[in-house]
Amino acid sequence: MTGSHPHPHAAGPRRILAVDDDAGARLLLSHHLRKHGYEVVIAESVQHARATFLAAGAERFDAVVTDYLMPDATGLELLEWIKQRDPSVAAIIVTAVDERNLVKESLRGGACDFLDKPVQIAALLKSVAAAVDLTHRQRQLQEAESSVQEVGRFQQFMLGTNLAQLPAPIDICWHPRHAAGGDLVNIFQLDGQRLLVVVADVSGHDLKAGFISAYFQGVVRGMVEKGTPIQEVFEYFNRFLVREWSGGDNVPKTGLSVSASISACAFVIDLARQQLSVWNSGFPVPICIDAQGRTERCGEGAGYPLGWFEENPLTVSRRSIASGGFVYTWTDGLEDLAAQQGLSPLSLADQLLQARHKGVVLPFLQECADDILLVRINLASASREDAAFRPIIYEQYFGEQAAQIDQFQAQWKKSLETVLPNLSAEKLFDLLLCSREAVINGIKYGCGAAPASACDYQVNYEPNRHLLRVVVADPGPGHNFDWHAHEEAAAEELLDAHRGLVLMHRLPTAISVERRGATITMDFDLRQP
Amino acid sequence: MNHNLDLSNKILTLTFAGDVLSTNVSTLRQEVFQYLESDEANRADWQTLQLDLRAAKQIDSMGLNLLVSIIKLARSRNAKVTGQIASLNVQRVLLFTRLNTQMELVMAA
Repeated sequence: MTGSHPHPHAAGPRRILAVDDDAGARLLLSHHLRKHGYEVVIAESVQHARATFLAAGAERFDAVVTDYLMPDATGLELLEWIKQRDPSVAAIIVTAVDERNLVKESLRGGACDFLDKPVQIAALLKSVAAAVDLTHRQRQLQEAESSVQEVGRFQQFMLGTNLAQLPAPIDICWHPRHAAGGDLVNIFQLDGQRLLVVVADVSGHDLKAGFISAYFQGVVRGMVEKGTPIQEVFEYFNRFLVREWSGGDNVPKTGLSVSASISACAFVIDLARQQLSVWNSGFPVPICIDAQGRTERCGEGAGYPLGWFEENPLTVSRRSIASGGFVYTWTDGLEDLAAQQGLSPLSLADQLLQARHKGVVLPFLQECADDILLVRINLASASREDAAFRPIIYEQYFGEQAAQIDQFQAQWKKSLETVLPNLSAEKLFDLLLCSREAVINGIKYGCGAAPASACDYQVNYEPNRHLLRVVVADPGPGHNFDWHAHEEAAAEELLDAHRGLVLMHRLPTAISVERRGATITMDFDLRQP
Repeated sequence: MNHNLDLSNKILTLTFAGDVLSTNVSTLRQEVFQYLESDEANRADWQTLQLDLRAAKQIDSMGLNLLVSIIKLARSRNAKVTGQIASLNVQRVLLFTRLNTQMELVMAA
């Protein structure tokens, strides 16, 4: 046991509850403890101790010293009772020699120390000092925990403000790793037809991250309300972090290291001009899906996280939103959890949104090592939620990745089974096989197996028509292959080539090709056997 | 891939341990043709080549191409080809690609 000095934050005399049925022992304890500055309250039985403890109310005890064996109950039973009411208070059990075997039990029961009878004064004072110190440290931890939870509740409150008044509906799913976190979303109505959404992820997920997050939000809000374009806000905050908080010349030499960085993404939704503008500063690339069920990355961005480098090449990417649809954006905690679960990020996002609508919490969220923030923005207020496609998978596969097709397929399978648990085994088989064929073709022929060339793979679900739509697009020139003419010849003459194309034309409910086959769309009607 | 020669019935059986896919087809092709082109296989009098695909839950187009190569080799020896399968999904794929016209398919019970 260590800690022989009074806790620096303890105010006033330290209060000790001393419990012993023996009058002499009580006198000894109270005399020596009072002599050394403690305030001592005596109890002569367990029952008396309980009443005294309850009567103390807000004037809590800093430690308890109790005999083990008393006529009405044991010191262990008293200790258990006290812990239920004040888990922070440390206790010392005084035991006779033949009671030593019970010491182990008492230590398991939560006592911080024990003393042998007859009690030595030096040992008593040392134990009591350590117990008082432990009590104060445990109470500080409790207060810190309570503060963190208060911060977390406030952050939750801030996320929910004003969502109902927005011209474009926005869904937010926020799951911090601890009670408070560094992920944030701010929504500003620039005017009646324009909305600014800022999503960001502060490095770390502790109180420090929460503080930096609040500071950043305050700066953004102030500057935006003064009419500063969001790109300039990001550029300003980047310079600020680099020069003032991350070890620049202006940082005072206090020995304090802040070293903060913020991945951030800003969206301006202009409903009048039907345009979406995106600025990406080191954030995961957002995904857009249009009303026709086509998914693509939006806001690729070349910027670094704010706070890394003074030179930060922020650019804007713009796209039309005339056909409506949604934008999905998330912090990297979601991508990490998806990888851990073997799911595509979009299928995890779908699960989070479905769970939110049902008011349930997904159990595997507890396994996540980072904060998770997911934001889905409806790009056209007139869009009907139930007519929209839900994106389930969007991935890019590069020309050198053909050998990993089994892993890709495993992720597709798990993602589909998770989002659509009632999907029949036959439909799942057909979709996976056609996807496999299309992606292998896209990688090997469309990308020419070139490492820098990528093939897009996406799966989207339309609940109204119970339709799964698979789209595979590669950057190649396509082909003029006539699969109808080939199919019979391939079977009769045992030709090696293009059997995959035959499968892709046979298994889906419908198939269409664009760009001479460089883009293939396969629909699977889940209502059909 | 394992092989078994039943000389009394003149059946050579090739047993595949699992799926036949783009990711394992190179190894399988090497094993299959190493045996089929061996002295033992060449000298033996087998008239039926039985492909035991009961362990396969999935065959993609490259896997199908391997089956086509095996069928062609068997044809060059005037041998018949049969396929034992256990998966309805594999059966559908073989039907769609009309390989059922090139080998007799037997659905395992």
